[in-house]
Amino acid sequence: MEYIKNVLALLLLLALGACSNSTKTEKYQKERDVIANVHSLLIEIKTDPILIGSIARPCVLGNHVIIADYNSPDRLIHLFRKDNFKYLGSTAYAGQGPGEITSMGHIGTDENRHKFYVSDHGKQKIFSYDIDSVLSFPNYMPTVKIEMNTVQFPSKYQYVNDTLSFALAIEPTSTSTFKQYIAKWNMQSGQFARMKYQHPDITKKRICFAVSIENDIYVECYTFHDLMSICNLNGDLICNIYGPSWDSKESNRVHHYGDVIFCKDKILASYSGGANFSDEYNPTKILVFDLHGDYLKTLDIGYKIVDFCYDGDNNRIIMNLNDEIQFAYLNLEGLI
Amino acid sequence: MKKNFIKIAFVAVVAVIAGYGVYSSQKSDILSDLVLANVEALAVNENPLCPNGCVSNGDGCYCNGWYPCYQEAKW
Repeated sequence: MEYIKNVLALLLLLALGACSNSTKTEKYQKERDVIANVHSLLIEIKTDPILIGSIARPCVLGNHVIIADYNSPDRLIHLFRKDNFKYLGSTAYAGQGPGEITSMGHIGTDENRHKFYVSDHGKQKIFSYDIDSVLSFPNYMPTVKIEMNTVQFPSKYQYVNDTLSFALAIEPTSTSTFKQYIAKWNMQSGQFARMKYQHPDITKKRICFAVSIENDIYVECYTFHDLMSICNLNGDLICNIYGPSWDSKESNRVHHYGDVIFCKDKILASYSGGANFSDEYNPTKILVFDLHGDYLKTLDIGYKIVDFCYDGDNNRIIMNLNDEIQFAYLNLEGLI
Repeated sequence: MKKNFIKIAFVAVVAVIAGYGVYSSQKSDILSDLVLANVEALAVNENPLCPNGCVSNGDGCYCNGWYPCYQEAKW
């Protein structure tokens, strides 16, 4: 009798365990309802005297903020001081001539050499700019860092050194289709070593990603699925985090994650959840996770976020917004 | 014999001119369609260089090249 009771208790425990579909590597988050309204905490950044177009991406290099202005008819890169956002100068003329940029892509940053690297997908080259020289010489001409090829190239990357970057690689499969994946990229040899983990249910992968060398992990957030994957830098899966709207359908009708960054021991990911080809395309909130992918809170920005980056020295995020204000920063001290 | 030759030559010249006329009118139609398509594409902020539909504002679209600030049309 006692034996039967024990068996029944064990079966009950197993049944209760099966009620939750979260496992160690597969985490399902049904609710993300810890909302912090930070709209009023945003501090506007004035970019006077420069006018910047609606598609602009900020990044940080040393004591500078670089803003890549994709729709500029003139100079495509603007430099500001990081502490007070004072305008310092502009470079990278749009055009097809020597030293000009025809189709600007990602801006890579090399903190050790005080250089930034500008991808030109028209000329299939990455140009190198020395930031101190750009600010000293108005007619500064960049040098060619590397030649890209058309078979496999990085759309974005996080530079570590000349032989190691973590890249979002693009591999065209026809004149209008492509595969996208995270890879270790050797700039010097041009070789891509694809990260091994691929989610089994995703048939068309479109992602944004961030790398944390200190924590030995990278995170990829899916643009058209409510899914985030965290892997170690060898490419082994640590966990998949499924949000409330998760499904594996192959469709780009709903825009989920916009961009993702690491802020010390947190992951910050902008999230829309709205219709892709509409006003809801730009996220208005940022989800905060710990390094295990556990949800902590939602920062309700209340403005449409185009892109954002982390200023580690000042523990704040710098944002480009498609709204009443164009650029702003948010101090994270005490907030996350 | 000489008259026949002139007749045949005349018919041939007329045929060549008529053929060229038809060809050139078709060509201009294709061109105007292309121009119209580009104008329409520009009107909805699409990339005129991408016939498969890269639309504005996105993280990248491929169409005979990489367009970093566009996105793929519906799929």
